Amino acid sequence: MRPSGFSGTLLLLLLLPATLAFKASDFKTCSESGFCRRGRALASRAQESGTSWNSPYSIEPSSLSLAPHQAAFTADVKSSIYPSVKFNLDVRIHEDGGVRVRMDEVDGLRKRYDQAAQWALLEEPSIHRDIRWTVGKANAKAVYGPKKDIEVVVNFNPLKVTLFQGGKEQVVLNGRGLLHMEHFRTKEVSQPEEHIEAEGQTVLQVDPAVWFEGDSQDAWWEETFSSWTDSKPKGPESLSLDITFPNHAHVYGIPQHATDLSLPSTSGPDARYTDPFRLYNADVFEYLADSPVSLYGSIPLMHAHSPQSTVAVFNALASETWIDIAHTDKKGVETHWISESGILDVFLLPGPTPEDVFAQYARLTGTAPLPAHWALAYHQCRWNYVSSDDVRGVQKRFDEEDFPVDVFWLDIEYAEDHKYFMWNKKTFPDPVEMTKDVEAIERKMVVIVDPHLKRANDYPVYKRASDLGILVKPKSGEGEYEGWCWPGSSSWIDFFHPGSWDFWTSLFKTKSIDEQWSWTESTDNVGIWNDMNEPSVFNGPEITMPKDNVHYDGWEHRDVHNINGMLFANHTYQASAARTDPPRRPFVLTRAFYAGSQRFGAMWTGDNLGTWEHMAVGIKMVLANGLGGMPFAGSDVGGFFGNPEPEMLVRWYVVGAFSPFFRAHAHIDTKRREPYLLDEPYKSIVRDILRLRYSMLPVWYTAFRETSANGMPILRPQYMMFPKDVAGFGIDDQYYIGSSGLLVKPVTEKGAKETSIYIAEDQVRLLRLLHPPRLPRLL
Amino acid sequence: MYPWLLLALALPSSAALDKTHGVPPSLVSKYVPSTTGAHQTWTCLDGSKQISWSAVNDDYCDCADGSDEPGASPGGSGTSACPHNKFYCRNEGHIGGVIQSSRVNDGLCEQECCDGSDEPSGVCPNTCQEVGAEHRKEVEAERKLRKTGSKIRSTYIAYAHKEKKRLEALAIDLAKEIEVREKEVEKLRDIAERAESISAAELERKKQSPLYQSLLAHHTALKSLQKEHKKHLEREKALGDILNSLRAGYNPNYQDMAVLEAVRGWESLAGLPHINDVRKDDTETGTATEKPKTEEEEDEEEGFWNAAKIEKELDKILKADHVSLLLEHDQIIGPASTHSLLFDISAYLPDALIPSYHSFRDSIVSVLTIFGIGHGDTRDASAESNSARKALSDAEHSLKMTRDETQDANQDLLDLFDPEGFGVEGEWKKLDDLCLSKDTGEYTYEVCLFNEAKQIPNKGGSSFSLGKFSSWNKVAQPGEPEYYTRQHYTLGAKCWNGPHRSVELVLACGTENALLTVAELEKCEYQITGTTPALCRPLEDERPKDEL
Repeated sequence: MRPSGFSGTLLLLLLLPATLAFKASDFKTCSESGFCRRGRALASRAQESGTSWNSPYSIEPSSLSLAPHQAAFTADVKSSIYPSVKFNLDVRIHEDGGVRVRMDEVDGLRKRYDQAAQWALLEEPSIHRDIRWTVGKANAKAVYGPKKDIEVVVNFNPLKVTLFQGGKEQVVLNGRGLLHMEHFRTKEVSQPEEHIEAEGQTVLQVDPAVWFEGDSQDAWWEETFSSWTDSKPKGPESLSLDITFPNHAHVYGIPQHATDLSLPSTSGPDARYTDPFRLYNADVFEYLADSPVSLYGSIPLMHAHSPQSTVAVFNALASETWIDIAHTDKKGVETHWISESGILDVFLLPGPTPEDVFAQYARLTGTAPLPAHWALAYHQCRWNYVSSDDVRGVQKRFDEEDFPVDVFWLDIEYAEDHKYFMWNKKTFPDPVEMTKDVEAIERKMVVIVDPHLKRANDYPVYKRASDLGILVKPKSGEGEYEGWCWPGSSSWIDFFHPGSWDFWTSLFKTKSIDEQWSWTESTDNVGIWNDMNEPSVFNGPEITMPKDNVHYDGWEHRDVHNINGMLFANHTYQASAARTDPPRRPFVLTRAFYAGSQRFGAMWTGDNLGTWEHMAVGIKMVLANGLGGMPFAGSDVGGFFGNPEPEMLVRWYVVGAFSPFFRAHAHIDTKRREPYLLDEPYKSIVRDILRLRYSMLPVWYTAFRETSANGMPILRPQYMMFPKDVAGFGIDDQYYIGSSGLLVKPVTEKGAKETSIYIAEDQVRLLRLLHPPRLPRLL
Repeated sequence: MYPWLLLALALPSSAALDKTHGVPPSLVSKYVPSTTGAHQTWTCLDGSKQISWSAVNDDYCDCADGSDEPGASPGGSGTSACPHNKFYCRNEGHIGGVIQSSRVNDGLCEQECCDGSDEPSGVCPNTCQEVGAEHRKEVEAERKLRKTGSKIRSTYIAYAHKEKKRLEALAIDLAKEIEVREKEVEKLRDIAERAESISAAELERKKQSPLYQSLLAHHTALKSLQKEHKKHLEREKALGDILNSLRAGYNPNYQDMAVLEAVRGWESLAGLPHINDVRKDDTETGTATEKPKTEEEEDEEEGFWNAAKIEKELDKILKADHVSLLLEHDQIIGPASTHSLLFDISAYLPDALIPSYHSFRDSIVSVLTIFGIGHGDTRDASAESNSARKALSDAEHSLKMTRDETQDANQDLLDLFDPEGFGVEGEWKKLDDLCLSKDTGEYTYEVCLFNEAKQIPNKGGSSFSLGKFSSWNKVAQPGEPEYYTRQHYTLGAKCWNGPHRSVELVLACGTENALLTVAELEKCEYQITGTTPALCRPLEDERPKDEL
C-alpha cells in the first residue's frame, strides 16, 4: 500500500483575479457607436436651442392622398435641410383602432430596409373602413372609438403625429423635433461648395444642414471598434425619432435589459444610467444585474401607463437601436429612439386599459401558442450530462429520491466536435435508446441545436447548406462568412434565404426521406434548444457578426440583426412540428428573440450568475418579457455561473417554480447541483417546491391558455392588476399568476426571515396567500 | 345523476381491493384484524392509533405512518391517500418490486411492477413471465461471471498468502541480519574512534581560523542560494506548464479577453507562435513538445557564470571538503610548527555535511588521495583512520538499509490483510501497482492501482496526474463488499481555474482487470469504471436476496 503523499511536484496556486465578469470593453457604449453619437448630439442641439428648435420635416398638403374606402392616407414629406430628397408618409388606422405611421425615402440612391414588421407581424393588419380622415389646412384628423374619444392628429408643418384620448395627449411623435431620416448620399459629395453653387449664394454660406445634422460627418462611411472595422458601404442611414408620453409617468417594456420593470431615466437630471437602453441582440458574458446594455433579445415595444390610461408604441426596427428615456417634471416621459437603419414604421396602440394594449399587440404579432403540458413541468439541465449513462443515472436518482421531473436536457457536449445533430458516439453510443428510456414514462428530452455550423465537409448539415448556397456571406457578398464559435471555424445558415426553410425542416425528420441526411438518431418528441442565435460569434465585433455581412437579397446584417435569432427559432419550431402528421405541439427554447418570437416557444434570460442580485433581476426580466408579449420565460434556477449555497438554491427553486418556464441549469465548471444532492432540510424543501409546481400545473396551463387567446402576460405585474393604484406602478418584485388571483412574492435576499408584500387598497378580498408548505423550516 | 354514476363505478374496484394489497411479504402477517368488542380493528404499524379494519386500504389516510394504506389505491381516487408510502408489487413469476406510492395509479405502468398491480386492473399488462425469464437469464449470466471471476480471485488470495509467508520469512532473515550487522558496527566504531581521537584537539584549534569560519558562512549562503534558485526554477517550470496547457486548451477567441491576453503574453515571452495560427495551418504538432525558447542570456559580465555553469559547477564547490582544504591551506601558508598528527578528516566533517558524505565519499576519497600523495608525512595515519571511518559508515549504512527493509516488510505484512489495505483476504495485493488503461480517442487514461492515475494525451504532450490513491469508498465501512467497489485518487495536477484533478474509480466484478468508461462528470473530477476479478466474491458468500 502506498498511501498518498505529496509528490515532489510543486503545486502552485495561480492567484488570478476572481472576478471574471462583464467586460464593458467588449460592447459599445453610445459614444462608441457613430449613429448613436449623432443621435444624441442632435438631441442636445435641440435642447440647447430650446423653443427656437423646429423639425425640418413637413408634409406637402397638396400631396396628401386619402385612400378611397379606408382610414388611410399617404403624403409627401420634405426636409427643409435637404429639399431635393423625397420622403413618403403613410398613416393608417387599423380595425382595432391602432395607428400605423410609416415613412420611407423614395427615389433615393438606395432602399432602406423595410421588412422588419413583415417578420414580426402575424399578418398585414386590416385597415378600418368606416373611420374618415378630416383634412384641414394645418393637419389631418380622425376621431373614433366606442366613445368617440380617441383622436389622431397629423400636423403638417412641422410633421407631428399625436394620439389623443379624452382630449389628452397620449403619444406624440416628433413633438420634440428629433425626427431625422438620414437619406442615402454618395461619398464623393464635396460639401459646402455644391450647395453654394446650387443656391448661387456667397462663398461664405455654410451647409444649411449644419444646425440640424452638425458639421462633422461623424462615422458616416466607416467605423472602428476595438480591432474591427465596419465598412458601412451604404453610408449614413440612421433614423432618429422622439416619442413622448406627456401624461404617463411610467414606461415599461423594451426587453431585454437587466433593470427595473418601470424603466429608469437615461438622460436628464434623474438619470440612473449614462447610456441609453440598447437593443442589439448580444451574447453578453456574465452580464451585469443592473444595466441598460443590450442582452440576448430585443422587443421594441414600450408601454406607458397612468391611472387614466395605458398606451403602447411598437417601433418596428430590426437594426441596432438606442433609447433614451427621461421622466419629465410634468409626470410624463420623453423617449428618443435612435436606430442604425430601416424605415420609420411605428404602431400606436391606444389602449386604454392594459388588457386592451395586450390585445392590440397580440393582434399585430400574435400570441404564444398553448405549449404541451410537459413543457410547464420541471426541466433539468446542465452543461453537460456527459453520456447516455449519465442521463440515465440522473433520471434514476430523481426517481429514487421521488423528485418530480419531466424533461432532461442535453447541452452542446453531446455533439461530436460540436457538430449539432451528430452524436458523440463515444459518450452517447445509443442516443435513440437513451431518449426512449427517458420517454418511456412520458418524460421528454430537449437537445441543443445552435445556428453555427462547423465548416467540415464530413458534416452533412454544413455540406448541404454550403452546396445550397444558403450560408451568410461576408461583406464581399461572395462565398461564406467564416467566424469562430464552439466548433471552431463556423458558418451560419441565412434563415432570410427561402432556400433554407425546407432544408431546415428536412433535417429534423426522424426517418430519412429520399436518402437525404436527416436526424434519424432522434425521436419525434425531442424538444429543441436554440442557443447562440444573436448570433454569437466569438471573434466578431461585440461577439456577433460584422454588420457588413450580407444576407439574402443583399441586405446587410446591420439591417436584420435583431430579427436574425427569431427566424432561427421560427424555423426550428416549424421543422419540429413537421416531424409528424398531425403535428405535435413543438417545444423550442430560444435565447435571442424579437417581437413575434412568442409564436415559436419559450425564452430564458441567458447566462445569469448565481448571485442574489441576478435572482432578483431575473424576476423583473421575466415580467418585462411578458409585457413584450413573450410570456413563456424563465431564468436558470441556481444561476448559470457559480456554485449557489443551499439557501440560495432553495430560494431560486421558488423563483423557478413560480416562473412560466422552470428550468435548472449550470455551467460546466460548476459542481453538480441536482436537487437530490442537497442535504436535509434543503432536499425535502426543494422536493416540496417541485411538488407544489406540479400540483399547480392546472393554474399554469390555464394561464397559458389565456395568453394564447388574448396575449395577456402569464406573470402580471402589480400595475396591471391595479391600474389606478399609483403606488403600485413601480413594484416589480411581486406579481400575479394569470387571472388566478395568486400573488407571488419570491424572497431573493440572503438570510431573510420575513418579507412584506404590497397590497393595493381594494385588494384584500382577492388575496390568496400561497406558501410552499415546508419553507417555514428555512425561516 | 353524475355523483351516483361515479360511485357506482368506483365501488367494485375498491371493494375488490385486498387488505394486503401492496404489502411486502415480510409485513403480510401484520395485516390481520383483531376483534375489539363487536367489530374488527387494526393497529397502525407504528402503534400510534387503532382504527377500524375496514379503514385499511380504503383510500383514506388514517395512520400517521401511512401504514393503513399500503395499497395506495390503484382503483381509487387517483392520488395516494398517504403520501411518501411505498407500494409492494408481488410480481409473481418474477421478483417483488417496491415503488413510491405516488407512482400508483398515475396512468403509467412502472417497470418495477411487471404484474401491473400499480394501476387499476386492465391498464397494465402482466409481463412478469417474460421479465422474470429475462431476469433469471441475467442472474445466471452474472453467476457464471462470478464463478469464473472468483476462481481468479482465489488465486489472488493464494498469492497474498504466499506473499505473507515470503514476507514473514524475509522478516526473520532480516532480523538475524540486523543482529550480525549491529555487532559489526559496534566493532568498527571502536576501531575508528581510537584512530581518530589523537589529533582532534589540534584540528579544533585550526578551525578557529577566521578564514575557515568565513568559508563555512560562504558555504551556507551558497547552499541557501542554490536552494532558493532551484525553488524558483521549479516554480517557473510549473508556471510554464500551466500556461502551456492554458494555451493549448483554452477556447480561442472566446469572450474572455483576459485568457487571450494571458496566452498572447506567454507566447511572446516564451517565443511561441500564436496557437490559432498553429491550428489554422493544421500543423498539429503537440504544442507542449515545443520547448519555450530559453531566454536570451543577458550580457555576460566578465568572469560571471552562466546558467549552465552554475548548474554544473556549483555542486562541485558545495561538495568541497573544508577540513581537507584547511589542512591543505596550512601546508601552503606556513610550515607546521609541530609535526602534524595524523587524523581522519572524515571524522571532522561539519555535522551538516555528514548526510551527504556517503554519496560523495568517492570523490572526497580521491581528493584525499591526491592530498595524501602531495604530503607524504600525513598520508599513512590519515589513510588508516579514514579507512576505519569508511568501514564504519559502510557498515552503518548497510544496517540502516536492512532496518528499512525490515520496516517495509512489516508494513507490507500489516497492509496485506488489512480491511483498509489489500482487503481482509488480501485479494488486492496481487493488483498492487497494476496499471490499467483506456484509450478514449483524445486521451489515454491510466490507473496504476493503489498508486497513481494519469491522463496521457494521444497526440503527444505532457500528461497530467489525476491523483494518487487515497482511499477506498468513503461512504461504506471497511470490510463491506461495497467498500471495495470504489477507489479514490486525489490531489492530482491542479486545473486552471479549477480544483485538483481527482478520480473516482468504480469497480465491479469481471473476469479481467480492465477500465471500461471514463467520464468527467464535473470539471476535472473523473469517474472511471472498470472490472476486476478481485470483486468476484465466491457464490457461496451470496446472501440469499432473490429468494425473499
